[in-house]
Parts: sequence; C-alpha cells; structure tokens
Amino acid sequence: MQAVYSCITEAHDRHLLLLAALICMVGVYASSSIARHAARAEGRDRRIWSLIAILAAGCTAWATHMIGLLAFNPGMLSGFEPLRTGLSLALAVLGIGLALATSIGTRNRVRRFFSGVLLCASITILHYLGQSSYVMTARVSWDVQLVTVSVLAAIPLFGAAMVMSGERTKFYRLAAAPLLVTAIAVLHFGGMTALKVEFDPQLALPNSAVSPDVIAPVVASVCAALVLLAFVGLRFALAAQAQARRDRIRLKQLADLAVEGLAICDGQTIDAANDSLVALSGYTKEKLAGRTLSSLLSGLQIEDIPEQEEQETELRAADSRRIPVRVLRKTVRIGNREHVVVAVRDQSERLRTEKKMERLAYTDSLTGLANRLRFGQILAAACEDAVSTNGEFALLLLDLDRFKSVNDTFGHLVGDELLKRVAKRVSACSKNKNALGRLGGDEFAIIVGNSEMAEEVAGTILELLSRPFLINGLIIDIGASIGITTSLLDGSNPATLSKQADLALYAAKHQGGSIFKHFEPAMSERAEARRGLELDLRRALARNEFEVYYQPQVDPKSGQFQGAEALVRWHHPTRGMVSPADFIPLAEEIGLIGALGEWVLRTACKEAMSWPSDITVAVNLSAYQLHDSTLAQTVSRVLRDTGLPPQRLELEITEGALLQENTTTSATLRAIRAMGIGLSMDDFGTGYSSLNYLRRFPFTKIKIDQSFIRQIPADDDSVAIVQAITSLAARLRMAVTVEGVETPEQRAFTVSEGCDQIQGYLISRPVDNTTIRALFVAPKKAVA
Amino acid sequence: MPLYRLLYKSAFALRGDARSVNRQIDDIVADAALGNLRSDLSGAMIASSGIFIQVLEGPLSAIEITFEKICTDLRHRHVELIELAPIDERLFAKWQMVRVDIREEMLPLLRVFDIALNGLMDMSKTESILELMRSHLTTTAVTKPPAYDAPNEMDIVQIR
Repeated sequence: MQAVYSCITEAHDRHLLLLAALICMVGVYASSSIARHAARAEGRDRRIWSLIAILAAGCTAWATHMIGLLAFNPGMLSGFEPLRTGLSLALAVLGIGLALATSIGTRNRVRRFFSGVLLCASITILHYLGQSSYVMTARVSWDVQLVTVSVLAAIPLFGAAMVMSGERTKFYRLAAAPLLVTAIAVLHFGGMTALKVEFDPQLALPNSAVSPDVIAPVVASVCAALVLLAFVGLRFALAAQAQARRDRIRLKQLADLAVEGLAICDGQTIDAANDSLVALSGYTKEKLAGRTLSSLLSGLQIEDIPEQEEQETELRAADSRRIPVRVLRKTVRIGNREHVVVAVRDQSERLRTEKKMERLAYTDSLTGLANRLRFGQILAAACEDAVSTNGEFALLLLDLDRFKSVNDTFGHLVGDELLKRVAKRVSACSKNKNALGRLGGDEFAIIVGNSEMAEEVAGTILELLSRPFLINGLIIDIGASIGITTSLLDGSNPATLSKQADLALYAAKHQGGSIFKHFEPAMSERAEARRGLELDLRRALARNEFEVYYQPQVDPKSGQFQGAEALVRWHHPTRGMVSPADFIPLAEEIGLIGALGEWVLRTACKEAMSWPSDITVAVNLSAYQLHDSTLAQTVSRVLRDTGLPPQRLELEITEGALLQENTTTSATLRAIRAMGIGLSMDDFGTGYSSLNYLRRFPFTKIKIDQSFIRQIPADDDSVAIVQAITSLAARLRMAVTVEGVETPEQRAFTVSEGCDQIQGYLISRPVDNTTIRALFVAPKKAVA
Repeated sequence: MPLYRLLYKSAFALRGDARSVNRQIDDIVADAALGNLRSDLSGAMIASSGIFIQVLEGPLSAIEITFEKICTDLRHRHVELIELAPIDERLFAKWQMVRVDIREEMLPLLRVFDIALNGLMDMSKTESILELMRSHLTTTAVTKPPAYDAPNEMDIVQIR
C-alpha cells in the first residue's frame, strides 16, 4: 500500500493527475449525457449519438490513461510507441463499446455485472497495452503479484459500478461514478506500482518512439473534444429537462381539463390530483396529496381497482358525504417514470337522472299519480300480498262521465286542468296515496283495503266529483262511474281483476253513470254473450243473414195502402230471430251500422221496385249515417242503381240522431230533400220534441210515437197531445203518421183527427217482401 | 281586476257534540279568514242546522282556487253552487270571512235558501239573501278586526 501511495505522490506530477481525474469526470459525463440523449432519440440520430457516446467513453478512458502516463515522471528519457498507442485507443473504444452494448437497456444485474467485467478487461488491456507503448531508457519489469491483485480487485468494482448505474433508485445511481473512478484508479495505480523501472543509459529509445511533447497536444485535443462533447451533452440534458417540465405542466393542464377526477398515485398514496377530484372530494389539492387512496375510496386498495372495467364504489368526501363513483386504474408513463392513475367518475348525477327517468316512466306527468305501467305493478304486488296472507283488497276503476264532451267543447287545456283536479279530489278520498293511478284518458284506478271500504271510498269519490269544477270562469259539471271488484273473487290474477272491475264500470256507465257497481259473475256472462253476438254480427252481412221486413202504412179513412216502413231482421243460424233492439245498438257500437244501413236502404229500394208504383218505402237512418257527409251521394247512387224514383223513398230520422248534429247534417238533409226524397221525423213526442228541429230541417212528415196512441182513447192527455201535434203538422204543411194503431177505436180516432196515415198491428205486423207484395197487388188494395 | 261573487251551500260532515262542532266551524272560519286575507277574498258564512252557506268575493282565480279546496274538503257534503257572477263591488269588503250567527228569526232566510237549492230561486232573491246577511252583520255585529299576527288567538267575529 505504501508503494502505491509513494507511486502516486512521488513518481507522478500531481497537477497532471488532477487533470486526469477531471478529464475522466468530464468524459464520463459527456458520454453518459450523450448516451441518454441517444436513448431519447429515434432512428438514425439514435445510432449516430450512440456511436458518439461509445467513442467518447473510449476516448475518456484513453485520455485519462494517457494523462496518467504523462504525469508519470520516471526521471529519464521516455517516449510513446505510436502504433501501440493508437492500438490501445482503438481497443479501448472497442472494448468499452462492447461493454456498454451489453449493458444498454437492461436492468438485469448479472448481465450488467458481466458488462462491468468486460469494461474491466478492456481498461486492463488499455492500461497494459498503453504501458507497453510507453518506452523509457530503462529495463522494465512487473510485480506480477501486484498486477494480479489490482486486476482482481478492480473486477468487482467495475461490476458494482455497472450494476449501480442501472438501478432505479437515484442514490445507488449516484454511487456508480465514484465506484468507476475508484476501479480505474485501482487498476491504474496498481499497475503503476507494479512497474519496476531500472534506469539503463545504455538503452536507447526506439526510432519510432514519439516524444511526450508530441503526444501531449494530441491528448489535449482529445480532451478538448471531450469537454466540447460534455457541453453538447449538458445542452441536451437541459433541453430534455425543459421538455419534461413542459410535458408535466401540459399533463397537469390536461388532467385539470378532465371532467373525471384523476389521482396520480405513488404506491398506495396519492401523489397529485386534478381539479375535478378536488371539486368532487371537497379536499384541497394539498390535502389530497399524501392521502392514501383507500381512505378516500372506502377502503379500496389500488390493486383491487380493475384496469379494464369500471368498478362501483363510494368516495368519502371532506364533509363525510358518501358519493357513488366508478373507478378505473391505468398505468401511464410521465416523462420516463411509470405512474398509476386512478380515474374517479362521479355517479351521483347519473343515478339522479336514472331515478328521475324511472319516476317519469312510472308517473303520469299530468296528475303526478302512478301511470298504467306503475299501477300494474302495484296491483300485481297487491295480488301477491293477498294470496300470501290470505288477505283481501278491492279494486276500483273510475271513469268520468261526459269528459269527452268537456274536451270537445272547452278544449284540451280545460280538459287537462279538469283531470288534474279530479286527481286531487280522488286523492283526497284515498288514504293510501300509493294505491292510486291514472290509467290513461279519464280512467283512474284505486286499491282499497276491502269491499266495504271500497263502497265508502267510491261513495265519497262520486260525491266529490259531483261537485262543480270552476275553471277559467266556466262551471263544469261532470260525474263519474265506478266499477268495484274484490280480490276474494279471484285475487291471484291482476288481469282478471282488472277485467272484472272494467265490466262493473261498464255496467255502471250503462245505467246512466254517477253510480258505482260491484262486479257480478253475470256481468262476465253478459259480456261473453255480447262478444259472441258481436262476432256473429260481423259475419252476418256476408252470410246474408239479414232480411228486410215491411210494415204497411195506410190511409186511415179509405184503408188504401200508401207505403211501407222497412225494418231489418236478423235470422241468426242458432239463436233464431234476434231483435233489432238487441243488435242495432251493438252494430252502432262496433261501427257496423254504416254498412248495415246502406244494405237495408239498397234492399228496400230494390224490393220496392216490385211493388205498385204509387207505394212509397220508408227507411230508417241512424245517427251514424246522418253524420256521414257522403250520405246524400250514397242515397243518390242507390236510387240510380235500383231505379226507384226519389218520390217513392222516405227517410226516417229520430230526434236522438239529430241531437248529435254536426256542421254537415243540415246541408245533407237539404240535399236529400232537394232530390225529392221525403223526410220523416220519427218517434216524435218521446224525446225533446224540439219544435226547433221541425223549423230548421226540411221535414215532410211527423210520425207520432206509438206510446201516445196506445193510451187512446182512454187517456185525455194523450188525446190532447196527438191533437196538438196533428194541428201543428197541418199548420207546418207536414203529413202526420200515427204509429202503433192496434184497435178499430184508435183508427177511428185518427180518422176523426184528420191524420194522414196510420201504421200498426191493426193493419199488419211487419212481413217479408213476398207477403207485402201480395198484399199490395191483391185486387182489393185496401184494409177495411 | 274584475270581481266575482260565489255563493254555495253544503252540508256539514263534522263529528262530535254540538259544542265541538261549533268549535270546528269556528276553526274553519278562522282558517278561511287567514287564507282569504292572502288571496284578497272577502266573504261571510252561515253555519246552522247542519248547513253551510258561504259567500266568497274577489278575483276569479282566487275564488276558483278556494272553491276547489272546498270541493276537495271531506268536511263538506253535497256541495252545491248557487251563483257565480261578476260584481261591481264587494258586499262583505270588511270581512275576510265572518260567521253570521243565525237565530230563530233568521230561519225564514234558510227556508228561502231551500227554495233556492231546489233550483227555483231567481237572481233577485239571491241578491236579497245577500243583502239580508249583510244588513244583519252591519246592524248587529260588534266587529273587531281579527288579530292576524297571532292566528292561534284569532277570534272570529261572532254576531250574537
């Protein structure tokens, strides 16, 4: 050891030694910074800068060695053998390049150690080859033992230096450079100390030897190049640092722009957070940094957070609120470091929206009650409950009376306001607000505890809804009908219950409304029968099951046949003859009356053509036909098709049909009258008997309802009414037909009152076409 | 804003003995007075023999809202609207709501109302009923303005 020390202090020029150390450091910095730049660069640049880095490393080693040799002061003539000097430089570059190539881009410690060994070998070669290029006027011998020891000592040092330089932790990386310098120093000074130089003035320097004075400038220029490279490297490093800083700032700005909360984590702790996470959590950025992630996300560990799918969890905010969130983990590189970024997405808005959507989907927006969908669920739940507990509940179905006319008369705005108020009034009657729904239109449904309560509630509701509604200065009176059924009948089936309540409601409506009805099994049967009849009725026209019957009309005085009223009959294949009173309302309801009416008109006109030409035919018009704006054309077409002169046709219209008159009714009737067709006011005296109709529409005949003649001559009032109508008709120049004449006394009365025409069982009941034609064409064309 | 008057009749659906019913009616009148003050309504009420007869005067919208509340109120039964008409001035401007106490001599008035409720009363009679109620209030009432600051202690103007 003493020898080594004295070698350094005595045999070397100290200043030059310091310079060697300095150049070594500068060179190492230059090569490493250039190498880092090469690592950042790409393509051709990368290859060129890598080469320069390796060259710089080799040159550093060589220059350090050369300065070391120049510092050696043996006190005799010395020189450099140029070939070996050059070779040492080439081998140094090659060896160091090889060592670096094996270490670049790997963190594998064994491999890095191996590259350290390679480095050691190349520097050893550099040293001893360089040494052999240094010639002196002396005999040179080596202390082989010391050489061996120094090389063996240097190997682990080199290995360690290479391993350290590849570590992740900065502290270890910083240890790499001193280790390397130590390793080189051990090798160099060990070698120098092992050198025994015996001065021998007999020896001469070889001719080729170059003087140190010549070599020194060469070494100096290599050193200058290294210094220059170091500056270039420094510039690169500074630029890279600035870029990294800019990247970080940009990343932060981007993160703050993100709507999602972002936490950049280092292990379990949060390193940094963006503005969104600050806003969401209520913690400041400073407070978030350093917190553990699990304290924020209710115990969730970072490893538990999935990288692909979002996971639902809760975020504990600063005010200890629990906010539903979804989290996702992602590993990103920031600069050249990897970070785990956790994205936190606020779910409270979405959940609120979902809840709102659900509420919208299940609520009737007009009244705020449960809608049909929701009420269906409530009913189903009630059914399940009733079945499991053997309990009972009642279902009420409510429908407003006259709501359609309110809507038609006052408009939908008033209609909607009315529905809102109805909902409020109904709510006031129902204890359980959750068992109430608007099924659509003006239909409401209520569930109550049992049948008895149902009656009470229904009564109260009917009473409340019978109270007037004041809307925008209008006084609106409506009412309601209610159908009630109970789960005791068939509680397990919501559909059945609904149907039963519906049938009960239908029955209540049918009885004029403003009442409630309980469901009875008979209602089902009736509905069943009606449905059967409806199906049959739809097919009856096609199957030719209808037939027109005729009831003759005669002059009461002479008994002369004047005409006949056409009446439709239905021969049902199994039920036999079905009464018009049963199937005409049904045909009206199911929209079959139009086709049926036209068929009757056509048939009657056709068959009347086979009658004597002075006999008229009267056909009834339904309200539906009357409202059809094409009625006049239809009638005209039928007349043309059948060839019946218009004067032989009479159309009978009831007051009821006129009640629902629309804008075209009057024009239609005038058009029909203009063709020469007669118009009769049918069943006069039973309805409103509005004289106004007689004035407004071009009637040619009044038919007095049979209910009056039936009481004649016993009932004075009936007598007075018939007399009054007859004289009224005479003044209005309209003919009068009395229906339902059954006795000779009644006929005598009509004669005495001057009625123009009678019709009734006294003459004939309605008969088929063949029979009536026989009556008409019989030689004696009168009924005495 | 044009003024309207509404007159209706209904039956009590109040439970309890005479005293309790009387107190409940006083509460109804007190609530009504408070509500009417807010919605610029005035009026008077007869509550006797199981029947309410109430007059409301004020803007149409306020009358409609108040009447709708009455129609949702299960303490009334058989609510019947007698009159809704525009008026030039209030007859009961002094009272947000006041109870007209009916004594023996007022019973004919009720009888007239029974005629009215059968739909046979004409407008001139409605007017005369209202005039009767008003004159009864103005001649015999010891009116004191209700203490609206303390609704709990609100004393309803009772004419005895």
